[in-house]
Amino acid sequence: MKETLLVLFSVLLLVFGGLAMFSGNEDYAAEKLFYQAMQIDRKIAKNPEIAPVRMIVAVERNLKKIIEEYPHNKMVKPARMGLVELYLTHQKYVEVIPALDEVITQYKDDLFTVSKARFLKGAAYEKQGQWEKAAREWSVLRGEKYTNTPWGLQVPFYIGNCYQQKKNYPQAEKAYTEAVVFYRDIESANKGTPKGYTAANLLLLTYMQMERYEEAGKTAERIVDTYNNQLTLFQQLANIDLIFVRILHQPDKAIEIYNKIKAKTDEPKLIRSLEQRISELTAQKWKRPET
Amino acid sequence: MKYNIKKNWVTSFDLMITRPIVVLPFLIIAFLEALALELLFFSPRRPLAILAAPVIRKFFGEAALHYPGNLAILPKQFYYAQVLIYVLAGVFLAGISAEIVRGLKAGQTVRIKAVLKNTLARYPSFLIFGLLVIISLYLLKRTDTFIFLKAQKLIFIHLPRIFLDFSPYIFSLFLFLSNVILQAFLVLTIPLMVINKKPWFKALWSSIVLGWNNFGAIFALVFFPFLLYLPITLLKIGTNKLIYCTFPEITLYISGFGIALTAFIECLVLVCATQFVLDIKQEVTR
Repeated sequence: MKETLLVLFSVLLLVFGGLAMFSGNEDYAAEKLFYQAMQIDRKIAKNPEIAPVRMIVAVERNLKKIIEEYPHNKMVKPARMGLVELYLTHQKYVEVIPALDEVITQYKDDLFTVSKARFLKGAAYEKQGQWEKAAREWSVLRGEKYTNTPWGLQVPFYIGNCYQQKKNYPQAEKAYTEAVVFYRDIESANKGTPKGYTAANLLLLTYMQMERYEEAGKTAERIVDTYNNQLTLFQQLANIDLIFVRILHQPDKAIEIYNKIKAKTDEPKLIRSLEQRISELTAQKWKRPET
Repeated sequence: MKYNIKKNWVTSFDLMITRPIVVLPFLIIAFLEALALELLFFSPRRPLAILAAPVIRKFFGEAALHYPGNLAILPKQFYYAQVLIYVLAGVFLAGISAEIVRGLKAGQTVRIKAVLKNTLARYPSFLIFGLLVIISLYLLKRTDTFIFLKAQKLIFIHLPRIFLDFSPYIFSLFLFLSNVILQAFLVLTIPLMVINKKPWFKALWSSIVLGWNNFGAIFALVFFPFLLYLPITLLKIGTNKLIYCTFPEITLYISGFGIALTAFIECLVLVCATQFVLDIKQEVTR
């Protein structure tokens, strides 16, 4: 009996040991390191200001280990991006620039990743007050090939917002005006496509920032007329209410657009909320401010 | 007939301690399950991944081939391996254990080769019975799910929200209880096949009749040992939450600990059931 038990236990140990030694460990080890890093990062994200330094160091160490010990593994890319986000979250701008340069070099054929890296590099320079370097990075993103990426598209709007936050209103106005031209061109060239929709939305936001509410309203109406997707229609409800009802005090126009949306959708919840809003607006009496 | 459950437990437990050969078949089952668990743990990695990866990808998705998804899905994969082991070897080895108990109680010298020869001749019967048990458990789970979903719609929606949040655990307790009730009718089959030398269908029928006539005693014999396994069952339900709160390898440790616990519980239940059949036989002979 004892011998049998010993033999069985030895077989189990041998099998476990053999598989552990000879199994292709690289993928598994890299994935495990990445998971552990992200678990600590999630805990840090709950309260980044008071996160202990050893936790931040642990995340950095794990991610760097993946990059150094498994250089050809598929986890290297998410590890590099994870490292960049860690540095940005904790304002380690000196470390983040070389990390982003490495991403741009390693993945130069991956437009999506490179555009994100350039955008974040510009943001890092901007946070350090190095505006010229930031502008240089973002100017690359205004190239034709980057307009197919989310960061390439939002750069003109982001630049305007940066100037706005710095209270540099003339420059903000100039940047927003350039953004309007940029988004109008992309919207008209890509009408009916997701890219066209994103450009239209960014155009609407730019007009809102410039307080050109009439044009923002026309853009919202144009989006409703052009795009039939339920989600896109739903996303415009808040814009229409804000622009036509609360700012321009044109409830009739809002009702007209709500009726257009109602005609385009068969989603019962959406129809119900539209009907409710239409009856509310019909019942209300809006007075224009006296001039 | 009022049956002395406590005496049965004491006798059975004493037999397991003093004559550990009775436990050996269940240790072999535990060995097979542990081996299966090891192979499943390493299956997403080379060299096992060469064969296992397409199968895992097809049935469990790509996430089951990467960390920590492979550990989240491990209890489910292990369950299927346990079913296979139970049908192909578990019932047969339990039959060997019942034969050993019979021999020891009759004062005979236990010769493993003779026991093996006797039990091997009835392997097809054990295989059929094992399949029947698995099918019964599957049908029981489907029935319980149906009843529970109806109860949820009719009753739970009127109860405080907490009942809905804990419904997987409540369902698990409900399933556990119905499992034990089912086992009370099936547990005597293997001892009856071995001791009374009955064919599987006659032994099954006798087990159901005996279970009906002595439900209280047999239910108690089965219920309390199975209760020891309930915490493992409940832990396995909350696998994803457990991984999130602790670490992914915990599923491996819980499954491993479950193997050891199952070996002990299954052995105790089988020995108790065999003792019960022997007591009934003695009573009838008197």
